[in-house]
Amino acid sequence: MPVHPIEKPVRILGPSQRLALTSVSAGFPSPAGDDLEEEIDPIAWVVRHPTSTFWWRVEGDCLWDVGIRHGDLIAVDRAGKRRVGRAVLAVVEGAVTAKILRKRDGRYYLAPANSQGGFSEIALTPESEIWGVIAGVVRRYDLA
Amino acid sequence: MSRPIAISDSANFYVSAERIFDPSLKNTPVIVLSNNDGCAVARSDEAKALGIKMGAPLHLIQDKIAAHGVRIFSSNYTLYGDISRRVVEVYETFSPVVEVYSIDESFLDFGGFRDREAHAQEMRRQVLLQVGVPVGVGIGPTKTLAKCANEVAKRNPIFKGVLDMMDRSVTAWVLPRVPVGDVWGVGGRTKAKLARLGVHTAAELRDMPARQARGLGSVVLERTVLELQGEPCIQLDEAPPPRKGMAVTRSAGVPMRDQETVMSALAAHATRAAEKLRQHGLIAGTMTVFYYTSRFSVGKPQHTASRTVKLTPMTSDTRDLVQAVRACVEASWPQ
Repeated sequence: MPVHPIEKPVRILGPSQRLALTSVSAGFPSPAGDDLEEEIDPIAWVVRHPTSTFWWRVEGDCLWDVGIRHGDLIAVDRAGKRRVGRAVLAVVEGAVTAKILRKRDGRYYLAPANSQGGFSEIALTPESEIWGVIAGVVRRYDLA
Repeated sequence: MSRPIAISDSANFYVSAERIFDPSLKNTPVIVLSNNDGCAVARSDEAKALGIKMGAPLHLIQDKIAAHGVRIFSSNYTLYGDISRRVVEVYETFSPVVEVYSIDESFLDFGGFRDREAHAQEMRRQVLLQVGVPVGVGIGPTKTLAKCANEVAKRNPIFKGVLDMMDRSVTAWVLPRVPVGDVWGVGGRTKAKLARLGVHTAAELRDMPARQARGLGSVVLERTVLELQGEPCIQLDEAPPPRKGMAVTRSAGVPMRDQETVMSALAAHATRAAEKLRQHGLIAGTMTVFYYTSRFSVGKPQHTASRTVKLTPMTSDTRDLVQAVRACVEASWPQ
């Protein structure tokens, strides 16, 4: 799944993006729905390390099953811990790609997460490099 | 002993910034072009190895670009500014005082760290991990010596990007190996003057009597001599010295043949000079206008003109400067 750097760097600019936070239950309506909690800046909530976090735009659906879709913006933290099972940006043969880091029989792989199939697994070679760990995703839906 | 000062800088910074997002640029010749895409303002080591010089006009290096697959980028100053700020943010976790000297260089207070070299290496590692650009570090008792250390570390891979010159014996070994032209603050003209006196290395400049240096160059050169001796003259965080003069000069792209054309070019330069004055919060008391015929038109009549006027009251107003330019041109135009 190719990703593209976002030309104008996205940065947190002051408190203008602070919003009142309420819990939203995806199942039943929350009984505590009218209890306002603290204020939150959604971008700052995603970006824990502003120095090392960069935004990329996703192309393709190879991480659909973990909730990352074509057109999403993803925050990628270069200083994030590279742990098995995490979604990462990896550099494979000079191209940057988003995948899940997996380990099998002592070897690391970059695996897709799409039960529809059609995406292949790549073995992590000494030449490939993990660029960063995906820290969060921002998506918007059609309103028209 | 003086407090250790470090300078950390990123070689080929614009290229390094582009490489963060495009790993295919690794080990490939890359150049970044000036604002108008006219010439190379940043070159990767591979591009330098191809003989592409700083400021090389694009149209003169087209054959090299084609032959070696040199990758070309227009400059993206928004991106470079963002990357530069991130690098400084990492520096700030390694030193209580960071003076941002330019987009790719910062001076840092390195006092109080037991193992400065290890501290600097960890800082390099963190900048590379968190931001993704390589940096090199020089450490010394003065800014000028830190700069020397940085230059030497850059050129010799044995130092792994860090050279600490707080130790006098290290400095004594290094300075004879640094060409005087590479010393911070020594420009082309000063270098030529020093060469006539047989001063070719940083060590020879260090051993020059400070008074002689002042006579030869200026207070700046005297300061450089003292700084090379290990005596700090340029403090950390010190604002750059106020400018005493500024110049806007250009060679004409196409030959200018009449007074009005020359006048309009000079008016444009005066406008730019006025902008620069206002930018720095300065006003001018005198202005010099000069122009001359092409040195390459051999055998044709030559003319050189230079006129200086006093500006009273002192001014940074474009209209005043343009008016003064007109007076200079009219007074100096060949009859």
